[in-house]
Amino acid sequence: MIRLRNVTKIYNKTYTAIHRLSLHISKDEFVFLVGPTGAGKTTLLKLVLRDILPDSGNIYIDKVKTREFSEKQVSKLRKNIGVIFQDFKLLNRTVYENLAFVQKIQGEKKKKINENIERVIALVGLENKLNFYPYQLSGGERQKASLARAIINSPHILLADEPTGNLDPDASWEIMQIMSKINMSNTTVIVATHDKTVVDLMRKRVIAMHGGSILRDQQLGSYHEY
Amino acid sequence: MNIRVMKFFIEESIISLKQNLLMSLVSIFTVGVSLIVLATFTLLFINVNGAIRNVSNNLSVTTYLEKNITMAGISKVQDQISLVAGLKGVKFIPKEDAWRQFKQKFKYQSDVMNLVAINPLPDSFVIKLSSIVNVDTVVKELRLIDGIADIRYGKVVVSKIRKFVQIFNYGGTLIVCFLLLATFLIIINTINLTILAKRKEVEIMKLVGATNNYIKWSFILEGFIIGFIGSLIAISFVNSVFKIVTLNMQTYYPFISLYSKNVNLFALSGLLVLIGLSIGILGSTISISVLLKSLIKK
Repeated sequence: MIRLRNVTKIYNKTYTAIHRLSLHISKDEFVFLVGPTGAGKTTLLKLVLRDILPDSGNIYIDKVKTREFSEKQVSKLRKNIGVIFQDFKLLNRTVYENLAFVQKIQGEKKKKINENIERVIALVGLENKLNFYPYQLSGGERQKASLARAIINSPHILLADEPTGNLDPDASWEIMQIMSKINMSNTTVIVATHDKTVVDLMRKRVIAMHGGSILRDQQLGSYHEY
Repeated sequence: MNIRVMKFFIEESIISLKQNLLMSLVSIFTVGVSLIVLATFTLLFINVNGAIRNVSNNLSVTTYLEKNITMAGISKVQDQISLVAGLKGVKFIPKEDAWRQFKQKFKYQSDVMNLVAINPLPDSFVIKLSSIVNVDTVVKELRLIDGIADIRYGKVVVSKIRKFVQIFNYGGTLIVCFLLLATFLIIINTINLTILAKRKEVEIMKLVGATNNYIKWSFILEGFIIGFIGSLIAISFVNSVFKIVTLNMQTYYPFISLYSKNVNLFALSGLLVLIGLSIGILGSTISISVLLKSLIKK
């Protein structure tokens, strides 16, 4: 479903973030991307989201080359990809308005919008924070709001960049359980993380990266190779 | 574009205006003040221009006829004068009338008047010109007519007024154009700053799947609202001040005529709204297009 073929990404013509990387992620898979800072995890997620383009090589989503997408196709692709950003990237609006926005651009009706919000907000446990602005929420709550926004349109792919980076162990585990649940409802999940505990406990496919290349790709893997 | 999408754009632009309330108010105020300056200068221009035109309209050339001219000669001169282009009116002043008027004018100097036994004044024609600009040509043509002994007009004054009219017309038009350009640039810059302040928001909108058109229309509508409210402020101000000034001038300075009172305030208001809306829409379109272009990553 997601295929990267010989992908290279160089920033400012000097720094190679991804080097000739090839990868295949099947539909409904749950994948952890692990590795030190600068390994290329975030760049890989940005490439899949088509936030950036590779300098060479190609990325295919459902066998379609994303490089050749028009602006409208990019928007359509992003509507089918839910993203949890490292810095949340919530609009400076209430949680309700953040969740409504991503549905309004899909052309959803108000009734359906409210039903969806009710469903996801209960799932992430933010029922009492719907009218709060991001700056009024704790780091964990913002992450939950970001997760709720990412899954509200039932995306085919869920990308998460350090989703537990700002959370305590209990909240981290809670977030992971929600993502696992989403994965079970036919959503491919790719998580870039430094959270060793979570990766080791989840026992999912682990892709270890270093210097823009894949060091290890292991089914039912762990954070470190034993 | 269906109703739901329209509603989305309206909601988005209102949210956006509320989010950056201070910047939005600054933009609205800038539009308002710029249009007030523009309208005030235009009204001032109309008034000064009207006053100059009034002076021009009252300008007359007096042609004195030869002393021993016959009635037939006078009639011939009149016919020839009427053929000269650029005249608004010709009035014959018989020498008897001229003498009576002269004596009336200097009645307090009767001692001097009594010394003059015979009427020294000739018959004359007072000619009104349609425009001060033509005075030299008209005088040149009048000089060619037989029977005219002398031509008098305020040559120096006319030349000064004519120069002033030309400078004022060119200068005024230039200033109005510059003012319009300055208004345009100030407003575009303010709207640009308002939109740039939302760069991060726009980036997020794009990342969650909003198309450029969805983002663009919300901002264009925002520019429309800023332009519209700004021009309403300008209209209210200009209309109120105009009414107060007109009333006060009529009460305290009735001898000064206001030429701008003939200006159709409704049309002026319409023009201000049109300028406000055009600049608001154009400013936001340019700013958001530049911003969206800058967000394209390679």
